[in-house]
Amino acid sequence: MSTAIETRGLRYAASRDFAIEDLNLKVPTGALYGFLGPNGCGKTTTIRLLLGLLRPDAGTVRLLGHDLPAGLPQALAGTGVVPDRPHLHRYLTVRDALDFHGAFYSRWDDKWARELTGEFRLLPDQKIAGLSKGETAKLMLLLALCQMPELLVLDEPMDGLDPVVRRDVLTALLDYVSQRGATVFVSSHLVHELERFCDWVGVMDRGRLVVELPMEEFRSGNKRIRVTGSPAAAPGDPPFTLLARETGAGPSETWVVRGWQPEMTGWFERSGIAVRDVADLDLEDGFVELLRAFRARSA
Amino acid sequence: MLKAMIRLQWKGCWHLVVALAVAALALPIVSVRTGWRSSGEQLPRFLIELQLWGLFYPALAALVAVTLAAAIWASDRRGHHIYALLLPIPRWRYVLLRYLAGLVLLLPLVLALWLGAVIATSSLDMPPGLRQFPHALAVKFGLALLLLFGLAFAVAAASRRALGIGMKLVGLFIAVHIAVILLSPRTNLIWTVMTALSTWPGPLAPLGGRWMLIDV
Amino acid sequence: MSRPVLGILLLALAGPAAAQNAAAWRDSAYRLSTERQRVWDSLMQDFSEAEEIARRAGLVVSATTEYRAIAEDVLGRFDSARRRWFGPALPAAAGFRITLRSGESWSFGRRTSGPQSLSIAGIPDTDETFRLAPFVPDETLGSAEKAAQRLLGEYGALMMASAPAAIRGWLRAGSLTEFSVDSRREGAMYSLVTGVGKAQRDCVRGDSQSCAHALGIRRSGDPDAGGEYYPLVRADLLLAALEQGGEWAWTRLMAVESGTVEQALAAAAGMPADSLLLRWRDGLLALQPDRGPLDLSAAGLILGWSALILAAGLGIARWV
Repeated sequence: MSTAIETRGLRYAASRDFAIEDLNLKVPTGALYGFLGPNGCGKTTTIRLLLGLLRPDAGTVRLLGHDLPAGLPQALAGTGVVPDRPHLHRYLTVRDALDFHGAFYSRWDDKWARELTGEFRLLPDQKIAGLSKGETAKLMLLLALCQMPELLVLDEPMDGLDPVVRRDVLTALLDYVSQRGATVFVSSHLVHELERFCDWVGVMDRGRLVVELPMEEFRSGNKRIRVTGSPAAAPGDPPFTLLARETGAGPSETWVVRGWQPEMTGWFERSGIAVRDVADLDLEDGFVELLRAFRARSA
Repeated sequence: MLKAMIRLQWKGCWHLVVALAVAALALPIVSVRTGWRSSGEQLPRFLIELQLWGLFYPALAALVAVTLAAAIWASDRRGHHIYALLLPIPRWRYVLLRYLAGLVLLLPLVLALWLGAVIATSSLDMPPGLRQFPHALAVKFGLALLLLFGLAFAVAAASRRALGIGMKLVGLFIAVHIAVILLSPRTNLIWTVMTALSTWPGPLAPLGGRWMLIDV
Repeated sequence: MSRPVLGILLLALAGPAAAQNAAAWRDSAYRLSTERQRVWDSLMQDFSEAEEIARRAGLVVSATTEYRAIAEDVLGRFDSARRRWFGPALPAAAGFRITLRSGESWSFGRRTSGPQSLSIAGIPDTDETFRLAPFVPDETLGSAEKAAQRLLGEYGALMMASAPAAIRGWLRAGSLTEFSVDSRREGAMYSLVTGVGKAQRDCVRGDSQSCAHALGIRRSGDPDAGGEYYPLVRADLLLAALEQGGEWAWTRLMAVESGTVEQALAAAAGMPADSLLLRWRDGLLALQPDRGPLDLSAAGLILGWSALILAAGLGIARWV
């Protein structure tokens, strides 16, 4: 499997109390990769490390096949970035920003840039300083898309945007991906946001990568199982990942598991535990349980 | 890319460039007219007045250099250089583009000063023994701008870490200077350094000399 | 009464009166001389440490402790300069003496040295012709060049005292050798090129007649000729004439006792006045700096430093 982004043993101490530890990220080429994690877990720091905005203390980063930092300019030539905060020159107009940005990219599509300006309802002569939050977000995405990149890196692109703007942004993004087959790496703390269009998910918490797997696997493998019997007698390690166990009324317990397959009921039967109910967990619940289990293990 | 950078910097600094160009245009004219009036139209005194006014040329060059360099880098500094770092060119190339575009912005100022010098010298009927140097003065001003702009540009472009190191070095030097003064009152390190900088072949040496628009 | 008888009568009558006057004059001169000697003695009392340091062709130099190291050098400089302008001529046959003084030196409330002196005398050394240079409280005569220049200034005044009246009037009591050669020449060049009068401008353009008018040597008759040059410029012309004329220039000038300034200058220079004027003008114009504000080597230095600073700037702009 070829990767658009790959890190090995990445380490970065952001402060005395927080560090990215041993990060091994693999974003497959062509994937729509959702980078999930609660606020303050290190998503933005990780993205900055991937883009060469921070220098890691240890480990390697490979972006579009180029090792950083030596191959950074070549990697950035194929990477469109929408950072968490606007980074444009505020005294420029929309048209000026397009002209300036386009001068640095050999694949810049000026025609499409002007079309997209109209679609996004941006006024070419309006100063960037006078744009609203939503208009600024659209402009930043426009600049990233019109570079015709192979990889798009977006840091919390929908944060604080109204539904209409969010829809515009998502439509433009998905249109581009479907036409060009580009890889998308998008971070968010809002699970439902990524659930709709990502096919890969990586979950980060407290500077560590908790899990990284296809979205379908993440979504379908998370179950809440109600069991009765004596689970203490269960033989050996279960074939699934146990995220949480809660005792209920009487002898019953509720198990939250990841990686569930239907045939795994056999494991319960062999241990004399009756499976009463298997319910799907939505992505958000699965995400919460995953983090809870991870934090319990880390403590 | 250079054209784009020039346009970017012009957009950000044009109001400064215009204001400073007006100052550069006015300086030679004001110096000649005021000097002539203050001297009571006595040529020897007029030349002394011009010599005093000559101090304003390197001072204006310093003001232009510092103001423009700060303005050029202001937007990047506000954005923590993220936009520049995300462009697909090496960092040093971006800095070089900024520098070259900055030099282009200096040209109108040199031209303005040259024009002012030509107007000033053509407004007086000088004796045949005196010589007028509007072109040489403008070129000298341009060279002073080149040097001072380079210095100011480097400081404005420096990373926080580099600036911090620089400040610490300055602090250390001052501490050493004080210690040396206490031990040996006749030794003045600051004076020694200033002398080294301002005498040949120090960087500030060419800024000295005569800045006379009209001279013997 | 015949004229000879009248003359003898007058002489006879004048004799006693003259004798009376002569006696009075002698008494007063004696008193003056004695008074002057007393003043001199009191002044020189502080310089009791003065010692003779060197002799050279009719000159002797003496100095107190602080100036002993430079005394011989001063003598050499003084002699070579005065010979260039005045040749073997002296202010007076009876000799001369010029004395410079500097005050006491103090450091943190303690007197570190007493008054110092440096004297040059023409042998024979009598007090008939002497000058005590004006005392400048803060002046130190630490360099031989400075001391020699001060002595030359006083020497020039002594020489001018016996110069032809026309020359003295023309210089308007300005000092001939007060300034150093470089200062004087630069000052004269400045005056030459900044002269705004018609004659002054035409002088710069090469018209000797205009130069003569502007220098007060010869009137042009043109009512619009304009102003004249300062005494410093005239002094420069005179010294140029003396240098041009060689060893006996001053002697020739002194021989033109009742002539015009133009005649005196021409005699000193040994050439017609117009030639002297044009040569003098050319010499001053040659002193104009050959470059204006711009210096090619400075331009090269700026380019070099700018390249270095740019390289440093590219290095320190490491934002990651």
